[in-house]
Amino acid sequence: MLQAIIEARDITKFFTQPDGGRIEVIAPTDLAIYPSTIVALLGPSGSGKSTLLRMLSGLARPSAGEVFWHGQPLDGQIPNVGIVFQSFALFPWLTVLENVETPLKAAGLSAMERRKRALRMLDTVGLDGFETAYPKELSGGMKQRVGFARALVVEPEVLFMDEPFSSLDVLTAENLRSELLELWLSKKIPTRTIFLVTHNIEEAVLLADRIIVLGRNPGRVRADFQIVLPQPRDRKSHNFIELVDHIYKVLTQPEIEHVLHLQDSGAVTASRVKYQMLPHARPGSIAGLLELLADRGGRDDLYHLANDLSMEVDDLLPIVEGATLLGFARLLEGDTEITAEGSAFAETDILTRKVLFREAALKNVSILRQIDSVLRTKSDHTIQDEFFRDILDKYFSEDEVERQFETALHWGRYAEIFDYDSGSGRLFLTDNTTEASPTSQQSSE
Amino acid sequence: MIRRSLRIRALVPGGPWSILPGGTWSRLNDAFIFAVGLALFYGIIRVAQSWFGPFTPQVEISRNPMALPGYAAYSLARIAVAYGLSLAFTLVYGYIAAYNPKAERFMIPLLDVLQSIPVLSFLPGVMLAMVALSPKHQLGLEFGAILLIFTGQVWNMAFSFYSSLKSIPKEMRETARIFRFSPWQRFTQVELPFAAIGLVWNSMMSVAGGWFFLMACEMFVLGSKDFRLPGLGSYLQTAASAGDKFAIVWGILVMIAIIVLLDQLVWRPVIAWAEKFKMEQVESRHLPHSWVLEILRRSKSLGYLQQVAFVPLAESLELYLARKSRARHRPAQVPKWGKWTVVALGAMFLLAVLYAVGGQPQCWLSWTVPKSRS
Repeated sequence: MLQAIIEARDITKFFTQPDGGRIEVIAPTDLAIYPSTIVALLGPSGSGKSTLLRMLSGLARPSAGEVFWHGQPLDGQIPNVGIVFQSFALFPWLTVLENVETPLKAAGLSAMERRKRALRMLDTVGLDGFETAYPKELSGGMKQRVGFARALVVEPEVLFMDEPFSSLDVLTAENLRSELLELWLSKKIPTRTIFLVTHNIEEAVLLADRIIVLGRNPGRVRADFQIVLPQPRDRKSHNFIELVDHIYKVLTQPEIEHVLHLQDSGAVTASRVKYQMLPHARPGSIAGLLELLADRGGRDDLYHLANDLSMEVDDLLPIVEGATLLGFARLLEGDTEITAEGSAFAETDILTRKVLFREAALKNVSILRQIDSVLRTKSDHTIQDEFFRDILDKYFSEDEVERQFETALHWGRYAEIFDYDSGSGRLFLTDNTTEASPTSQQSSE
Repeated sequence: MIRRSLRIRALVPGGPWSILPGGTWSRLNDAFIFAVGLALFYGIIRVAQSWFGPFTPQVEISRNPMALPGYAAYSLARIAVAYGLSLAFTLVYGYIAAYNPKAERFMIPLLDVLQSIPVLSFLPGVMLAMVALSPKHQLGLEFGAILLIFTGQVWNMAFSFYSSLKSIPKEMRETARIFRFSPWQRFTQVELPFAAIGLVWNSMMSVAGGWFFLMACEMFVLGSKDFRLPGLGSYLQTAASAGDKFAIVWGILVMIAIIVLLDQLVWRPVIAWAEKFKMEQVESRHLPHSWVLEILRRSKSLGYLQQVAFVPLAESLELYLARKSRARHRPAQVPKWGKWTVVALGAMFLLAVLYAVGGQPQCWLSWTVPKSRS
């Protein structure tokens, strides 16, 4: 067995709340990166992919546990690595050549040596002739080439890439990917291992020798496997499709969640039981998915769905999760199947849909149930939104609280459980005495 | 490879410079730069002579328009020195506030407070203190005026620099970290360029504001004492109190000329040069132009000077600091003196505030007047 370049032992990342509670972003994780491999880290948004990358590269310190570099603890130092970002992160005030020279200057190399090495690397990535151009004169693909050149010019042992192709258009991304792969396979780039973070399953299967799949809330490794398909890989081949499908299944396997069942009074215990997390899907998207499923006989493969909708897994997954959470659909080995409630929802008109959505939401979604019961108990049927943000604060990070609250708002307003005045920040009970009657609905608004 | 593309860039013809044979313009260029440099040098010598000359609190202000260029030079020198101080203060203050969370907690509110204190309320105290510091030379009085202009210029610049540092994109910082930039390289290649645009515009605003305070602090009466410094401000005040309309018009004309010249010779070139620091993804169509910048860029002698002196000097400094920073194993530690700088700065500000509050003219006069009698 080869000696690992990077070894993470029991690393974890959490944020401490003002009240002393902890929000775990990455659960304790062991991970080893070996030479001569392309490792792809896959996961839905919010699974802490970038956080893990930053801990492995030395950019961020783990809250607990330790990262070892060739057996030595990293201890806040940066090892010999290069990094490529989705946003390129080039210095706009420096020319292409000067940008690529910056890491060499930091290494204390002489001007002649810097120029020689930078020019050689620009040649390798196909930027010959652009040395004196400024980044803003270049297209996105060209900018990312500069990013690659800058990362590779230091001859890093590990090249870290944080969604390097995500901000490029499809064709440019495809082109750059295959060029990178070619350079890697012909050993023209001076790096021993590549660590790629992506949310694009096909990209991972296309490039990687090893794929690590992360789950979320908190982020943890859900699957870690080798890919033995020979390069270059054919997207249309049976094995390729099989593999992509398998990863979809891993990503969508229902996770066991300990949903906190709240008292009707709305009081929350201080225990750190995991709170139900809303997937960030709009009711309209969920309705669209259910209609599509109903059209296809009630069941379809997730990979097909994603392909037909030309959506990336990151965008599709929350919608599927939303439908599942509401009991409108269920996941069966990577397939999505519509339930009886889901069919009823898909086939009815808009007003009945709202009623069905309301029933499903109050039955399955704890935050909405909680808001509903609090609003009903209060004499004026209204409450400040801070009340619920405070509840969510105990379980989620600051940004996630905002997203959770926003999603709860979308769902609650669609279901006509409550209404929200963003000016005063108050939630108030929708007048339900004449529920689902279009005329009185208008008059009450 | 690189030489080829560099030459292409240099050969691109442009403007009136392509009409004449290369040599003539380049010689004229250099002659112009040399003349401006000489004039500046002469001005600095003259101003220095006056500042280090004997203490004369009441310079006789002439209303003759012929005296105006000299007065304008004195005023400009005051503004320039005050601006230089402001810039130095800005860089230090903004840097500490942006990187030291403990210091940030009191430095930023303090900036707000200082910003809202009217500068003219400092005038008597500051002037008398400076005169007391250097009673033999004109320097004390001059420095008092400069300090007042400084307090009118510095706050918005410091705030701009601080907020620029705070808004450097995370990934740009991470790039500097992962490639282990030395603190100096980070400063010159990331932080200062990123803050450049904000600093340039705030500098323009500050210097413009400086003209306003100049009028007040070149000539004022404190109790029985009458202070006068040679300058545009005192010229205009003298002319106004004498009712000399002819002199007033001349004074205003010179002032406008100075402002236009400053714009053309200083701000336009700086703005055109700072264009490259814009954080934009695509090149904008309308680029600011400056004929002065063109002249400077085309100057052969300046180019030679840069190649021979400036570039090697900067290079050796950068490499020395980079190697030193690499040699240190733990670059993340905050140096001990950083803490003491913060403490010292805090103490200085506290003193300054106390001084401004307690240093009212009456009590200062009561201390100084008996002394002068004895």
